[in-house]
Amino acid sequence: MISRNQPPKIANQFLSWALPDGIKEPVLGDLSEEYLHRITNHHSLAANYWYWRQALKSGMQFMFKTQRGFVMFMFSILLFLGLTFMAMFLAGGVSMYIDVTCLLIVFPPAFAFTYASTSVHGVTQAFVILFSNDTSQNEQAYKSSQRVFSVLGNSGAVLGVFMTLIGWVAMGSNLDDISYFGSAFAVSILTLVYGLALKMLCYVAEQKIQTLSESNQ
Amino acid sequence: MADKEKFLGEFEQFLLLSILTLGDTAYGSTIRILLADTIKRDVTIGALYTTLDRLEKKGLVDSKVGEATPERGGRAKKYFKVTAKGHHALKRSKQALTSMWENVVLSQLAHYS
Repeated sequence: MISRNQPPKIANQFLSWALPDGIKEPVLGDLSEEYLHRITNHHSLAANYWYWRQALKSGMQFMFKTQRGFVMFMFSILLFLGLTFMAMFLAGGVSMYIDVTCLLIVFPPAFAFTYASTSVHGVTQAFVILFSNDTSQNEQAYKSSQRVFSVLGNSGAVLGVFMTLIGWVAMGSNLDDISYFGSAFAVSILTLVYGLALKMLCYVAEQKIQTLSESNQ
Repeated sequence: MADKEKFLGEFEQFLLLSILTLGDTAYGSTIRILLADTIKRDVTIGALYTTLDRLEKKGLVDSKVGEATPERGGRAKKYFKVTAKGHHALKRSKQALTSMWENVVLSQLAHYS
């Protein structure tokens, strides 16, 4: 439940993430103080609107300086996803590239292998480091996080190849009914596409953590 | 060389004047409120601190950490004070503006607008 006198939590967290360390405390303090004054004298909606506006405008101003690496990383991922969807759309529709069975035989096993060969804590830590752009961890934490993405990406790619080959074996065994060959081939290739997409995203994540590790030295 | 020193920007002047007006109580919130009340300019806290940081780097203002209060969520204030260099820069900008305004009568320019 949101306390009436507390500034909106998400706006506060966004601002805290985006602000440089040197001015984080005075800026958040000033905004809290003014928010309290506004919520006492105005309607809470107006006070919340004012706080959100301040947080978004100020946060956007600083995030391109303080969180530049993270912003560029997210931009590259979104660009990749956007271009992929555009290519799918232009090739005849996105729906033919979505197959739940293929997703289930690539992603859950890849994550299971990663958890099994690293640790639950290691996987969580890897994603936290990646998304928080944290340069204050020790060398061991970065190495362990890189290993997480390495295992996840390689497992995804190998699973994609493996499941594709299984599909081909199944197709080869049923060549007498050639009418199903086209759709069966497309589905088998789709697992390879998913596996390689996961491998590529993990490669970028691994390199990103390498960069964070080098900035720390 | 003193002649090649740049003059203060409009917002920099407003900030220095606000700090001088507020005296010992000049910190982010009070400066923001003063600007909104006096010149009706609702600046974001980010823009305010960016300019204050620039003025501090130029040596025109000085800052010190103040007290933390419950209404600030236990966070400390950052008080600002105009330095001697800041006083000098303000005086110089004012003199430059006064000189430029000396022979200007706005009513004669009205038909250009």
